[in-house]
Formats: sequence, structure tokens, C-alpha cells
Amino acid sequence: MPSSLREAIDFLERLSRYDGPWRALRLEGPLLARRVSELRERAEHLHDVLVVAMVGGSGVGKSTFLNALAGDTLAKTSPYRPCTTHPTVYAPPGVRLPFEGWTHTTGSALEHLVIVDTPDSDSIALEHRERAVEVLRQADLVMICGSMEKYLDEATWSLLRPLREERAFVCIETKAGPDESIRAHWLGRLEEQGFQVDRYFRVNALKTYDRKLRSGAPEPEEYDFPALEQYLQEELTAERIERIKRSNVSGLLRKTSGRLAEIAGGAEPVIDSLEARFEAAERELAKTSFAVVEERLFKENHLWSFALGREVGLRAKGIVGTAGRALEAMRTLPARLGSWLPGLRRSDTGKHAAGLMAAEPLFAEDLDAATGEIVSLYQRQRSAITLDLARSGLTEHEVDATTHAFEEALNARVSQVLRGPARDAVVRRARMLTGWPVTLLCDVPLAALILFSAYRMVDAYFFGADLPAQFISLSIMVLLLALAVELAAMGIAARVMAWSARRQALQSLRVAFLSPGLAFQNERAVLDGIRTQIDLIKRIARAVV
Amino acid sequence: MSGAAPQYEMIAAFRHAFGQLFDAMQSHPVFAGEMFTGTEAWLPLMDYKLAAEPSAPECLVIAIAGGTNTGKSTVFNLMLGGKYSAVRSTAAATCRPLAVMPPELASVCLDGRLLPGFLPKAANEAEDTLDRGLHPETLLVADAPGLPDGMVIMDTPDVDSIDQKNWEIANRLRAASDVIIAVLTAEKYQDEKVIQFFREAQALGRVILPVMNKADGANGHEVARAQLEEFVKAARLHHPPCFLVNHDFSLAGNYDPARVMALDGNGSLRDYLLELDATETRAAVREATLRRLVFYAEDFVERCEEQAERVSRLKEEFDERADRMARRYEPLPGAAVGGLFHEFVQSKRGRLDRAIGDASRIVSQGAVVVGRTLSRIVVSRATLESAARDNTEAKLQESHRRQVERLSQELAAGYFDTARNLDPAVSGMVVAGLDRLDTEAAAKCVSTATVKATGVSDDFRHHAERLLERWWDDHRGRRMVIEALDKILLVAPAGIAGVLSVHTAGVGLPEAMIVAGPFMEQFAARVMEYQFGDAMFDFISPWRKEQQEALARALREHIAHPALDEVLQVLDTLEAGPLAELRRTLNQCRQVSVKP
Repeated sequence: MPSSLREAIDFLERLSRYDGPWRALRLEGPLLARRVSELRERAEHLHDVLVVAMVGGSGVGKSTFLNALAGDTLAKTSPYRPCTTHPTVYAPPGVRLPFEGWTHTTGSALEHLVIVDTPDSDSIALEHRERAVEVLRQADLVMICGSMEKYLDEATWSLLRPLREERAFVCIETKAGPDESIRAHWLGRLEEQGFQVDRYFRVNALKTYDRKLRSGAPEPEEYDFPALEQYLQEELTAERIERIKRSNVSGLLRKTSGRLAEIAGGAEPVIDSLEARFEAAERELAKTSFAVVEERLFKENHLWSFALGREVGLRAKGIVGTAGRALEAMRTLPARLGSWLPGLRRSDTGKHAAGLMAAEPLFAEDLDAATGEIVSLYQRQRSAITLDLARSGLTEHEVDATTHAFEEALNARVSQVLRGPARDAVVRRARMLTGWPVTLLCDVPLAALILFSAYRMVDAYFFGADLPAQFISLSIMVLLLALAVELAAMGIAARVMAWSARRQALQSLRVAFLSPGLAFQNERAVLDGIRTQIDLIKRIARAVV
Repeated sequence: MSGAAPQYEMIAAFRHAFGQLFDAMQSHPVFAGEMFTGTEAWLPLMDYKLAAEPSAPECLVIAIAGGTNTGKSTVFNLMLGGKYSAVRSTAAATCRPLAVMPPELASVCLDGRLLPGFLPKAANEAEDTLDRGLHPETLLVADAPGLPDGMVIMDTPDVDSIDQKNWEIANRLRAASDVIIAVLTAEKYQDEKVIQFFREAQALGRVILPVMNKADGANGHEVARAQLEEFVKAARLHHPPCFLVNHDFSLAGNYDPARVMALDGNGSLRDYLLELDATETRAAVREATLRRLVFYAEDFVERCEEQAERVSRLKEEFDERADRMARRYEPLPGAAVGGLFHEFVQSKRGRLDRAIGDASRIVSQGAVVVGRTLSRIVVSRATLESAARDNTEAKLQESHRRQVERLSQELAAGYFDTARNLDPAVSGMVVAGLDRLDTEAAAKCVSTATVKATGVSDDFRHHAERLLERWWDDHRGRRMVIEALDKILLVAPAGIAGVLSVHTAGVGLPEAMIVAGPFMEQFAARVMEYQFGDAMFDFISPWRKEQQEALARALREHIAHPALDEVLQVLDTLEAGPLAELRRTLNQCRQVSVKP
């Protein structure tokens, strides 16, 4: 079997086992599985003998025709209808066929052919019809046998119609006489219904059979019989047989993949619109979640001041820095005190605030950004999506009705922003506030003031200069005043920086929320799965064409 | 024989009822298509033998039928002794029926009175029967002066070729005929389609006369005899006289009626037909046709009734699902429900208490607004969050609204899945109904209808009062606690204000009111509810049930029934009368048919 063919069949087999949410493909499964097994069987026997089935109504002379071909009485014939009850297989010696319950006759001189005489397709013995269908399933080449009265019967045509693209056809007019008119009529009607007939032979089976029994020379009343024999013996070479089988296989493959491509073509726009729908839902969810989280965590200026103050406190140096640290410790005392005092709600505020912006997820369990509002919106969106899927004939098999996945995704995003960009922004600003330039700028005037006072005092002590009264208290007051001014300036700067850090973090949060994959992962996986199947089908369809 | 016989009227009534049902169902083409499939096989029965046609003269209609290319037209011509119908060697050649009759009948027939349902057209030449350009319902009419009075002979298209239109015409002509000549050949006497055709003709009481065409004359027609016997057995005929035509090409063109001769050698088919008692035959045919009609109609009406039954079950199933979905709704009682309890307790106050309570409320109410605002600021500082998110009524309603919309959509999704697995006719209608349904809008309607009703209904108010009254009587201890608490609640704001005024000369009074007012109020309310706790479940559950029922009603109204819209229309149409009328008229027909 050629590898490309095997690949195509393997693809089809995978599709036939499809048990996903795509209803249309699921329904196609059993038919597809039957086709796949037939394709596999046919593809494996490309080099075997050609199975020729003779099909026709009761009494057209199929058995007589077989006898005429063999020149011997292989099959029983009779004027009473129906006569043949079981298929008769006429095969060359040495060919083994897996047809059970059929009469086997070896001894055919036609080396590459197995000819099967089938029971009738149209009599009241309905089991005959079933047997004929069985033979047709095994056949590669169908000889449609017809006579004057029985070439246009629905009973026979209805058997052949489904096989139009999957078998080679040859017409045999079994009781040919001088009147040739049915040839054109028959072929015309066949063509009209989409049959492609390879050859047409007019024979008179009974005459040939009689003559062969007498061992005489061919007579003109046998019409095309010699041509038919030549066709079977010489034209149907091994090469030709393989071509027929190959074309049968490709016909079936084309039909199968065509049907699948039709299904896929119908599903594609649906999938596209669903995808757009999911995206819109996700965007709306992200926007709402952003608004809620912004309102809850990011609007709180004191959280950011707290975080910045903590970072500043860790790095502060110099006079003003140390003083600022002490002041910060006092300022946040109530919040920290909360954890020691009983009865205060959310008493671990300090721990919480520190944990939120810590580099490590210290208190990850504390963070729950998915509030009832967000979750209920998610659930509603999700049910809308489930409805859309159901409307499009897609059903989710395993529905994860919980909201854990979404909540986790949301919290992960918030905490990533808090621990990443938000923390970075805060730390960067803290570094700026506690860096040497700012420290020096703050400390130098104070240091100068202290030094100046010290100099004046030392000078007065050793050289007896007069110090004004209350010099010391005045110096200290000036010093404290300067310190207070600087601390206030620092405080204001810290507030401004906390505010700008918050703004920056907010920007990152918006980006993080709007990046895809926040919600509806399961539903998206459903669509992706179907898209994969559609691509597979398209590939097969292209390969087959 | 006139229309005096009661059966004609009954059949006309049945026919009328059927027509009404048919018309009523035309607005639902898919469903009707499924429902009326198969009726075309027996509807023509009413057109001919069972229809009172006082204007048409009684006649014996003989149809020639059989498989394709068996030589029906040849036998037809032989019977008439001339070339009336074209003969071709190709199959399915005759495609338009030809009726030959005495001239005085022909004019009646051309008026459309003799064989209604066809478009009669005078035949110009024999080849007309092959003309596919003629309207498919055309009946060609020719006159043959030699035919005896009241005899019509018809050539019909085949019953088994790939041109299925031909079968339909043959079926209708079978209904129109009294005698059917079955043309067989050595090849075609056991074909399933052919046998089925004649079995049905036999069941309809038609006189069937098998003719073996192209018979082999060897051994005294031994083969033909056996074949005819097999045919008779297969078609379940009762020993009919059989005929044959010898296989003889040389006689083409020589149309001698005697060539269609009896199997036993006594006379020809034509002779047999001439001797046939037309009145008796017609009576037998009529009787059997009526029986058969009742048989088919019975089956049809039963199927319709089953279908109606299935549709109404579907409605029940959908309603049931809506109810199940509504039971998943879990509304939380808002202030309106909780308030009932406090209302009740307050109603137990004495007159003096009530006056104090009112004064106290007025005092505290002003402070409450300021107090709430201040406490909100304090809490938000302590928790790093704007704590303005308490469960207000608006929030509660919003959450209910979302819950309800979610349930609506889940219900619709479930309906889709169910609808796809129904039988095709109904499934198509339901899926189309669901597709038409704007679920988003429907969900909104449901939520408006339901959430609006979150308030307290009068029923529930009465229930609550009864329950509370009983509880009040049963629980003496708790009742006293509650009464004590109520007293505290009653005097607390005024009391605190009084005490503070005395001690501080008014300093700190507003602050104390701010803190104490709301606190006391809430505290006392919670303790009271706790006292009532074990009765709370009983208290709430009818309210919840009420809410769920409201939701179920809304779900049915806005989702289930719009989705089933067309199906329900079908059900209405079926149940509004046509089906019952059909059943009634059918029963009358049956009574007539079983009468000897």
C-alpha cells in the first residue's frame, strides 16, 4: 500500500474514532469506520485478483452467462424464478478467497479474475438481495447484466447507485437479438444518473453456452461474446486490474473525504464566529475584573504609601532618613498594632500589605482578587458560552462547572503584577529617595547647621566670645525646624512617588488582564480541538484531490 | 346505485375531516411532510370506488398492469384488436396512461367525471403514451366503437422501473380499476415490486387476471403453467383464471384478441371479460376497498394520535426541566423578609412603648447617617479597602439577576441538546424555535419577572404572621428575652442621650449617639434573630419556594414555551378538533365496513 494512501486512511480512522464535542463528526463516525475498514481492505489487496460480480434481476441469465464463460455447467439454471440462491465463485486454481458459504469452483483459465455469480437483486426472496449486496461489497468490477425486460428495474439500480464512484462498471446485455435499441437507452439512462460505464457487450449467453458444449466455432449470433472473452483474457492485464482497484479506492476515498470536507466547511464559519464571541466575552470579563480590582486594591493610596515607606525604611540612611524611618514606624503603628489588639477586623493589615508587594509570594493565600461580583459575571458569561456551543451543535463532554480555574488565573495575574512591575516601581522610587544624592542634599544643610553651632560654641568656650542668650535653644529650634521642613518635603515626595508607582502598576495590570487566556480555557480547547479536526480533514481532502 | 348508501356520506365526512387536518397542518410543512408520508398510497382509494358520483355512469374499469417491458401495451392492443398504444422494445416506454372506452363514455371521461384526479386529454395517436412532454397527470382518452357498453380498458405505466413517477400513476390507476390484468413474463413473475403491487390489488378486492406474455408453448405450456401457479401463490390470489400469449414474433402487428387465450384453452381473455358480472364485481371491489381504506386510515390516525401524544409529552418534559432548573435558584432573603420579623416584634409593643420607640427612632435616625459614614471611613483605614461594599439591597438584587440569567441560559443550552436528539420532524421545529429565541433577551425578561418579585407576597406575609404567632406562643422564654431586648432597643438612644446630657451637659452627646445608635440597633436585632434562629429555616423556606416558583413560571413563559412555539401550535391544531373529528368519522366508516 502506498504510504500516502496509508496515511490518508490512518487519518480517516482517527476521525472515525472521534468522540469529542463536535456532534456532526461524531454522528458520522460509524459510517466512517465502515468506510475506513473497507478502504484498508481494498488498499491492502491492490495486487490481488480482480473480483468481478455479475449483478442483475432474476432471470436475466447471469448463471447461463457464467456457464457460457466457463464452457461448462457451473451454476444451475432454470426457467423458474428465482434460481440461484447463493453466490457461485469461479476462480483460477490456487486462488484462495475468504468468502464463506459461497459455492467455489476453481478451474478458470482467467488468471487474474474471480468471477462471482450473484443471486438476483429483485425477487421476493429478499435474502437473495442481501447476498447480492454482500458480493457487491467484495467486488472490484461490476458486470451489470440486463435483458430486454430487466435493465431499467429500480431493484437493481438501487443496489448500484451508492457504488457509483467506487466500482468499475461493465454492461452485459445477456439475451441480445437483432434489436439493438436498448443499448443506447440503457447507456443513456446510466450516464444520466452519473454512472461511468467502461464497456458494453451484447452477448447471447445461451447460444454461446450451447455452442461451447458442442465445441463448435463461434457463430455470428453470439455478437460481442468473443470481444468480451478477449476483454477478460487480454485487456484485463495485471496492470489494468491494479488501475481499476486503485481507481475504486480513490473513488471511495474521494467520496469519503468529500463528505467530511462538506461537514468541515459547514463548521468552519461557526467556529470562527464562536471564537470571536469568546474573545469578546473574555475582553468584557477582563475589563470588569480590572475595574473591580482597581477599585479594591489599586485605588488605596495608603497601601502604596505603606509599601513605599517600608522599602524606604529598609534603605534609609543619614539624619533625615533615620528620622523619617522613626516617623514612619510611628505613623504605621496603628496598622501594625492591629495584629496585637483583639477584635479589630482584618488585623493583619501590615503583614498583608507587606506580603502583597514582597518579592516572594509570602502570603499568597491572602490574596483573593476574584470577588463575588467578578465570579458571578464569569459564571454568567460562561453559561452564555455554553449556550452558544449548544446552539452550534457542540457539546462539552466534561463540564468543569467550578470557577477555580478562573479564580486562580485572575489571582495569579494580580499577584504577578504586584510582585513584578508594581514592586519594581516601588523599589525604584524607594532607591531614588534613599540614594546618596538625596541623602546628601538633605543632610548637608543640617550637618552644616550643627557644625556651625558647634563651632560657635567651641569658639565661645575657648576664645571667650559672647554667645547670645538662649543660643543653644535657638539653634536646636532652627535645627528641628529645618528637619521638620525636610521631613515634610520627603513625606510629600514619598506620597507623590507612591501615587506615580500606583499609576505605573495600574498600567501593567491593565496589560496583564487584557492579555489572552484569562478565562474560558476549556471552551477554547473545545474549539481548538475542532479546528485541528477541520485542518486534518482539509489536508486529506487536498491530498485526495 | 346512487349516493343513497350511508357509507358514501361517511366516507365523504371522513374525507372532509382529513382535508381539514391536512389544511390545518400546512403551516408546518416539515411536520406535515412527516405526518402525511404514506397517505398518498391510500388517499386515491377514496377518489374512485368509494366516491358517490351520480353524474358518472357505472362502468367496469379494466387496467393492464405489470413490470416494465413485459408487454403491457402489446396485451392492451391485443385486447382491443388494434394498435391503440405505442409498443417499444425499450423499457419504461409508456409513461402516460391511456384509457380506451366506448364513444359515449369517452365524452364523460373527457369532462373529468369518470376518472377524477387526472387531466383527461383526447389521444391523437398511439405515440402519445410515450410523450414525456405531457403533464405528468395526463390521462389520454381514446374511443373504441367495438367495446361493449360500460367497459373501460386502460394501459398503465410500469410499477418497477427507475422512473418512480410511473409507479405513482400505476398506483392511482389501481385504485381506479375494478379488474386488473397482470402482465407477466418468464423473467418477471417473481419480482418483489411486481408481487407487492398485485398483493395490494388483491387486498383491495380487485379481480386480478394473470396473463403470461411471451409464453413458451412447449409441452402444452408446462413451464408457463408452473410459473403462473407460482405467481398466484406469491401474490396470494384465489385461483383466478389465468391466460397466456404465445411467444411469436412473426405475428407482430396482427392484433387478434383471441391470442390472449385462457391457460386451459377455453376462450380468450376478452370473452372472459365480456362474461364478467360487472355489478357483482363492482360491489365486491367497493366492499374490499372500504375495508382496506379503514385499515390504512386506522393506522394513520393511530400514528397521528401517537404523534400528538409525543408532542404533549415533550411539553411536559420541557416544563419539568424548567422546574428542575428553578430549584437550583437560591435567593437570599433581603431586608424585606428580615424586616417582617422585626415588624412583628414591634407590633407586640404596648401603646406607650410604641410612642417611646417612635420618638427614639426619630432621635437616632439623624445620627445614623453620620454614624454610617464615619464608620465606613474608619473600617476602610483598618482594612486597606474601601469598605463601601456591604450587602445592600441593590447588590443582592444584582446577584439574583445574574444567577437567574445564568440559569436561563443553562436551561436553553440543555434544551438544545435535548432537541437535537428528538425525532427529525419535531427536532427541526424545536431547534428552529430555539434559534429564533433571543436567549439574551429572554434571560433578561426572566430576571425582570423574577427579581422584581423578590419582595414579599401577601401569601408569604400571612404565612409569616401565622408562623411567628405560633412561635411566640410556644417559646415563652425566648419571647421574654426578645421583649427585654426590644425594651432596650426602645429606650437605648433616648436613654443614652438622657444620661449623657445629665453628666456632661451635652458635651460628647452626638459622638455617643453616633457610636451607640447603630451599634445598639444592630446588636439587638442580631440577638433577636439568634433567639428566633431555629424557626428561621421554616420561616424562610416557603419564601424561597415562592421565589423558585416565580422563576419556574418565568422560565416556562419566556424560554420553554417560545422554544416550543411551533410544536405547541401543532399540538393545538391537532387537539383543536380535526384529529378527534377524523377519529369519529373513521369509527363510523369502520362500523359500515364490518357490516355484512
